[in-house]
Amino acid sequence: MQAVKDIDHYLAHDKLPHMWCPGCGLGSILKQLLLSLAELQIPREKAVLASGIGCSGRAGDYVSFHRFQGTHGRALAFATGIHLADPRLTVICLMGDGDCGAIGLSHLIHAARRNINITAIVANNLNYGMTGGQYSPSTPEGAITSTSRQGKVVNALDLCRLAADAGANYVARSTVYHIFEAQKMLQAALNTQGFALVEILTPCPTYFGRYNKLGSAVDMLEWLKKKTVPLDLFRKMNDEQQQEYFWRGVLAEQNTPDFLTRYRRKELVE
Amino acid sequence: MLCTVVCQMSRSDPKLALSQEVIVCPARVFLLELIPLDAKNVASAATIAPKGLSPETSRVTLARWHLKNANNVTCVSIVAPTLHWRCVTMTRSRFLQGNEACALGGIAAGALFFAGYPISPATEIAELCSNLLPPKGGIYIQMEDELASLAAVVGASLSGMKAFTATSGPGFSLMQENIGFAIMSEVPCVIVNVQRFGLGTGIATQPGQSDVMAARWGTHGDHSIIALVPASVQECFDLTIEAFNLAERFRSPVVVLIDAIIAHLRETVRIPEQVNKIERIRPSGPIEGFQPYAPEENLVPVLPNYGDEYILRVTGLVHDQYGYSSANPDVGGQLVGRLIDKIELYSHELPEPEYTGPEDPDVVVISYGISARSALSAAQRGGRQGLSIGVLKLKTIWPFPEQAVTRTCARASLVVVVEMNKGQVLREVKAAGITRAIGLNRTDIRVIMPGEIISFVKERCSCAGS
Amino acid sequence: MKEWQILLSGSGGQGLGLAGRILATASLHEGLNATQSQSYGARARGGYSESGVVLSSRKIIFPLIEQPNLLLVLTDKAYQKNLNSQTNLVHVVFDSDNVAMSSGQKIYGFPLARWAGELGNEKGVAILSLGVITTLFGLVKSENIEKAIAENLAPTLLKPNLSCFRKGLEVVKCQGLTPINDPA
Repeated sequence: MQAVKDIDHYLAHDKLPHMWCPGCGLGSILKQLLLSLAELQIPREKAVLASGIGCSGRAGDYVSFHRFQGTHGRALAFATGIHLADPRLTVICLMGDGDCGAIGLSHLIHAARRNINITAIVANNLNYGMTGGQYSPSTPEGAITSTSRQGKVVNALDLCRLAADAGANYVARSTVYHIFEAQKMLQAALNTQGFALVEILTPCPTYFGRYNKLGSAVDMLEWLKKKTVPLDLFRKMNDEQQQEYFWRGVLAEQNTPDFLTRYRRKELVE
Repeated sequence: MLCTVVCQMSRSDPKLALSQEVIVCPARVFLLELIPLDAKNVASAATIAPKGLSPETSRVTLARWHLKNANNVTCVSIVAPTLHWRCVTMTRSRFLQGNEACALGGIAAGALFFAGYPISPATEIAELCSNLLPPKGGIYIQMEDELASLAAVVGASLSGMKAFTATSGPGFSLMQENIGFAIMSEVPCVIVNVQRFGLGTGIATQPGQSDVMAARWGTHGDHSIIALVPASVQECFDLTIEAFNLAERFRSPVVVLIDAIIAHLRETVRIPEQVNKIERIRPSGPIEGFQPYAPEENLVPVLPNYGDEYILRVTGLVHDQYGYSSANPDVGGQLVGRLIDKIELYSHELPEPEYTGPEDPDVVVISYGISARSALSAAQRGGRQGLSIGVLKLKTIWPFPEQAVTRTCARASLVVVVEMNKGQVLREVKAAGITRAIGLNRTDIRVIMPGEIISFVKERCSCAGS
Repeated sequence: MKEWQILLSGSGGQGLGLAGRILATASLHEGLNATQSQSYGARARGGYSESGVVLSSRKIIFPLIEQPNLLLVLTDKAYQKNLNSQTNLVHVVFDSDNVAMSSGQKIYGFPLARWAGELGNEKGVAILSLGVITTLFGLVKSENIEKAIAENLAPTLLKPNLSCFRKGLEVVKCQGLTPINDPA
């Protein structure tokens, strides 16, 4: 575990404190990302943090290294260009569940399919926080949001399974409660040559928690602890039980050559 | 002198291969670079057979030849029926399709990155780039849609590669989101729109000139944009180079509006020995406290690339000079104002319209693209019939060249704007003060023919006379 | 030389676009100016198809066919589309097996598709027609067409198409038709 001081030079101190609500997990996620960068000793000028629109999109304002904030949902598409034009960069995409799972879903599938060498982080707070708590594709069935007062009609989309099926080299999920596990996953993702996705469940006490009467920010962390089970346990559950829980763990870990490696292999050689 | 020749043994349908050919050269051979050669060197080159190339080679093989004492710039194409290589033609001119000229123009300007999504009638640009960019160390990538295509182009440009995409109306609509983003975040890139007929999905293979306003106002929010309109295959080459240069000069996306007729027309293109390229200016001065969005005197900031020691913060939100997002009204107002002024106040640097005709014409025809070719022909033929017609052919369509238009039309009794739409440029001519201007318009996929323009002018002239 | 506006018309798959490109590139070898346009999209995959070539010793201002003065008609559909109104000023070469019109002054019918078929290269009909047109109208030298064929075709396709072109050249010569050199 890295000391906090090691991430000092990755932070834009004059921009702090951040704009996220009390109890939001985005700050923790950003901190774990910066700790992972420090652990891997990635120099400031070689890292790019790309984000989209929504609460997570603001993360770039708080870092001192290269940042990119694109249009809603397109972070992975922009990042594809950023990476391909300069593969020496460590490109990280931090997205929300609405950003990545709704408007930007096709970019996630295709980035995973291409196995492009980018680390994607989805901060999944189970709703659209920035716009006032509407339901997103990852909102669980029956959950109350500002646009599903009677409970969300359809079940949640599992972005991890989608990315793994599409061909991502590394796919894992954890929560802000299990923050050390999450950091290990982030490091593994950053070490992956190819597409890596880490989904981190994070509390949104302001909207999702309030609408669903999940209590305070601390209560929501407890809720994340209760609602998640390790992947192997989850696999042993029946369908009905699975509806009640989120799995945690590493879903995919492989070493398929990434897009650029394969692209250059096809290229003309002397 | 290093020269690079690629021989591609294509397994694909010969017809398909032909559609991708670059010059008067066999379907299976693609020329990568314009090669300075003189006759002597061609002779010596012809005797060199690349090692290890077999007829079974189904993909690609690259051979590099070192040629010394090269002076004349010519280009050479090589036939590889078997292992015997020979030179068949040397020429400085190439018979090219508009789309091919556009792709070659982009590459000549230094583009190394193309991201796109297939769409008629623009596909040849993507096809050619997919062949020519990889051997240059560049990237061709087919994205999942046009939104992603322009996003990837913007990303690549920020990492330091000159980048472009090509599309047509429906794809252009999808790109509007990121055109606005690129304007806001000041990312140089080129968007080629090969205009097809109609709104919606229109008629995919038929021509139109109806995306003029979409190029100007397609994305939301106040902004300015540069758009160029080639009227010949030569101009497809020249103006695509110009577009890349202007993109770097102004740090802004530049649109090239080609119509499907010019895009598929084949004409002779003269390819100069060296093209004028504007390379990206890199920041200097202290790294600490660097403000990427602090403008220079010409209102354009000097941005670093990702990977530079200077830290680049890019956002489509209103941002301060550090690149941090801001909700400060003054910051927002100044930014939008500067983004417009940096182009509008320097629009005299953009390609001027070309005037052809008598000094003081009775009739001025304003046109662009294929319609301008009709207008030029009509003016010449009309001249033989005693009509005094001058043609103002636009090269830059945005910002609209108001001054040139008002100057040229000042004393003409009749001003006709000829375009394959319902009067998109006509509005601008009127807005420039030429309220008497009238439109000759067509929106039925048919090209406006020279004869039609002559009849139109004659009718109006006789009315005016009587 | 006045401006030739040549319209090659027939159906998709007859090689009209390629023939147009060959004619245009051949004329470049003679120092002429040329432009070439052709049907695009679904029409090129069957149904009516055309290719236009403008040849001139002067700069070509308008690059498309406005009023063809030389027309190749290979199918009935092409005849219906292009010959209903403007037969007068046009030199016409038509496929006498497939188009219901009769030869006359400036109008020449030959069984073009049949000849190409006899050579085992039905797709070569437009190139065979180039041979006919070259002999009849002397637009460009036949050696330059052959050169252009070599430049525009993959080596394996060279031989069958050259024989089509030569067949077109010869059959017309045998009929003793005199070349016309002016598009008027």
